[in-house]
Amino acid sequence: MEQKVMTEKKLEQIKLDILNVMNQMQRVIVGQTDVLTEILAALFCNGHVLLEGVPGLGKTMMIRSLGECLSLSSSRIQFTPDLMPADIIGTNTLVQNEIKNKYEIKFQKGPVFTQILLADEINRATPKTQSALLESMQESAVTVSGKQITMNKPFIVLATQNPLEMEGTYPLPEAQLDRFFFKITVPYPTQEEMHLILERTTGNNSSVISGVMTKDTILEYQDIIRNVPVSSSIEDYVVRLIYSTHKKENDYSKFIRYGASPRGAQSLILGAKFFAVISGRANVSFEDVKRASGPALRHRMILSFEGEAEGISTDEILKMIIANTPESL
Amino acid sequence: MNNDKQQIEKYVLVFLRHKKIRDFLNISVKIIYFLFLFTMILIILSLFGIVYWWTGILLLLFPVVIVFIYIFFKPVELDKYIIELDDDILADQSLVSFYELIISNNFNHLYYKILKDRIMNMFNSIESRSIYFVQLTNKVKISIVLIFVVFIFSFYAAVFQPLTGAVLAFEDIQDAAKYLAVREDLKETFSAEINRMRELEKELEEGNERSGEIEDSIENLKNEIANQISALRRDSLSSLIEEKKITPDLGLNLYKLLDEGLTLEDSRELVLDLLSDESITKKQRNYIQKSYEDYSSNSETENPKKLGEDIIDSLSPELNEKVEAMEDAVSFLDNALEKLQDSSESDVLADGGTPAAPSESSKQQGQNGDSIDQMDMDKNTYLRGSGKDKNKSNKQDDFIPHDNPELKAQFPEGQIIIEGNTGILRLQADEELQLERIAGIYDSTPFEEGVIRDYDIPETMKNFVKEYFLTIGGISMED
Repeated sequence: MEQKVMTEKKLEQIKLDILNVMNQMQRVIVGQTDVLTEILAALFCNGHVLLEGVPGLGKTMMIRSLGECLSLSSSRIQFTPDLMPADIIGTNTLVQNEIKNKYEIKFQKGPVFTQILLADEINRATPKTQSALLESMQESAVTVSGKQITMNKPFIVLATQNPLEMEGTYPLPEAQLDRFFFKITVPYPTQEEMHLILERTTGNNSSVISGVMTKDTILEYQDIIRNVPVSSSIEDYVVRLIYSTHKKENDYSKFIRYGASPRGAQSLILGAKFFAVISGRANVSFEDVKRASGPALRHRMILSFEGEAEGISTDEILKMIIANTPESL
Repeated sequence: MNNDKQQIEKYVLVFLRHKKIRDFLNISVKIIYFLFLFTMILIILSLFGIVYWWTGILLLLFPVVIVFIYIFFKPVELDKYIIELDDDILADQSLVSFYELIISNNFNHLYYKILKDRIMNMFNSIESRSIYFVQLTNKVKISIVLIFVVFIFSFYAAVFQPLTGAVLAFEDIQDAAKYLAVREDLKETFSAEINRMRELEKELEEGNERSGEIEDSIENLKNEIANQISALRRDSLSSLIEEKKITPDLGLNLYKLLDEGLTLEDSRELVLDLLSDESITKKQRNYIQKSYEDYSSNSETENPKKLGEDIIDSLSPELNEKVEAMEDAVSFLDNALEKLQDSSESDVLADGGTPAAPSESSKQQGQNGDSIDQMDMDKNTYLRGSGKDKNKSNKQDDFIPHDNPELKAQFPEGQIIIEGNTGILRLQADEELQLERIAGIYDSTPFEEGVIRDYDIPETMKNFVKEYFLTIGGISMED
């Protein structure tokens, strides 16, 4: 059996390939480099993303372009209050078999059976429908009539939610939020970026995205990234960061009702591994952990009443936690 | 693969050696600053006599030695140092990650080779000295200067300081004890004090006691001896009355003189009474007279008790010897006290670093035991201290009547005559004589014109007066 060995060349190749995907996406998406990087991090770490941003920021476009440049199948579900689980998963339908000339029940796959799924405005659907999607996210499989159907790999759900319109919405419960690998906040574009958006979208010229990465490459890179070594010092730092979100003696503790889960630590380490690779490192550094801490932990900390009344964000609390947690003891 | 571990550890140890050198220098700089501050404090405290230089040196050396022992013998844990080194060489945890792959025998790890190559390249490209570089910063330069300053202060403390304080005081206390111990009668009386002096000598030698405490002890000893002197004088006075060497009235007056002192007028009466006493020798008479003249010429500043003390001492030669010995001891204690307080180098140099004995003549007199003529000089000596001050005071206070215009002014103008065999001294006064100005010791109150003394004066006294006026000169005498 041939022994797998990571070389400098291979590491450089991975880094270039990922950057190439980003470049392809940026043919359509203006700016949003951090958002794109974090989406790719979730993809290569086999996780799902919750995108939060006001309408019109190009979230849907972003996801569609991702599917195009990765040569993966993609679908989109617009979540509404009357959306049913069957509308997502699929349903058994009575189908006529012309050869046998008889009717039979056949499972009609829903939009979830894809590789990149855009769940638009996920908080508009009822919890019942939300949980149908979340099961497929967690298990990478769907159970219909007692039969489990596995999803194609890679499978990534990119859910969006609008932070402004809260009326008539069903906010995701904490347990379901925890299943998202990253929560990415899509920022408003800068003035320069807005000029570029207008130039690109209001003329006749339309950018064409070409597929630069195959499904197999994605799965290979997922494996390589998962193998990036993490030192005990880094692990210790991550553990201390997670525990800091639970401590009661800090100044910021009053703003937190509940701290990050162990799944948060997993996301943090995996995310840090991705950032290490795209930085050309063969191991995780403290900087990688800090870089991953925002998207990995921001949705895993529940603000207290005091925190919400103060209008403080989890990102600000995370900054305080990082500032107060020494890298090594 | 085990070679990888050895190779890494070899590199790490090279870095560790340089780190230790740098840490040692850093700590040395801090210690130098500490030493400097401590020396400054020590100098200030020793100037005030709060600590002794060698106590400070011990206090100083102890923490320094502990720090150095700690640095050299502190065991180094390689695992911990690798984490530190990773940070120092900016390896971003790659060294730690690689070392952990080695110690967990994870040689087949996907990233093992790439990490090994990177770490080896890093170790080969980085000079360990450049990581733990010792710069000649301003801090280091200042610390080098401070080393010299500390050395100079230490030299000062070690060489000069002992001469200024304890050692000189030690010699004086030793002499004071000898003075008391040499006489059997005093040895018995002052056995407790002598023992305390021996203890003080020991404490000064060992430096166990603070300067302030020693000063207090010396002060107490002085007071003890002074009290004993007073007691001796009173006893002696009682003996004189019992032996009928002086009249009870005279004794009572002397008591008064000792207790609260008398007015100048009363003192004069008392002295005249004494001088008229035939049992008093010529030398005693001379001494009493000079004591009174000293007192009357400086009546505003002189303590009348001192006159009484002088008179009693002169009346009893035995007491005089004892008192001299005791006062010499007090004088030595004074010297010791002065030297303890005097810690400045200039004072030491001025004194020549030699403890001054109270008076060589006093010692000789103590041996002879009969030289009352020298008593005045010695009294001045031990009552006013020792050394150069003592010599100065001798010159100032010696009895030189013809050079004393104030004293001359007190004597009557005109001619003094002694009437026939009656021995009455008479003043042939000028008509314009201002009677009020006459305040000499031989005038009388109430004043009668032309009469100095209106009662019989013994022959010896007449001769004395004659000699006196001849000595002061400027006034013609007729028999």
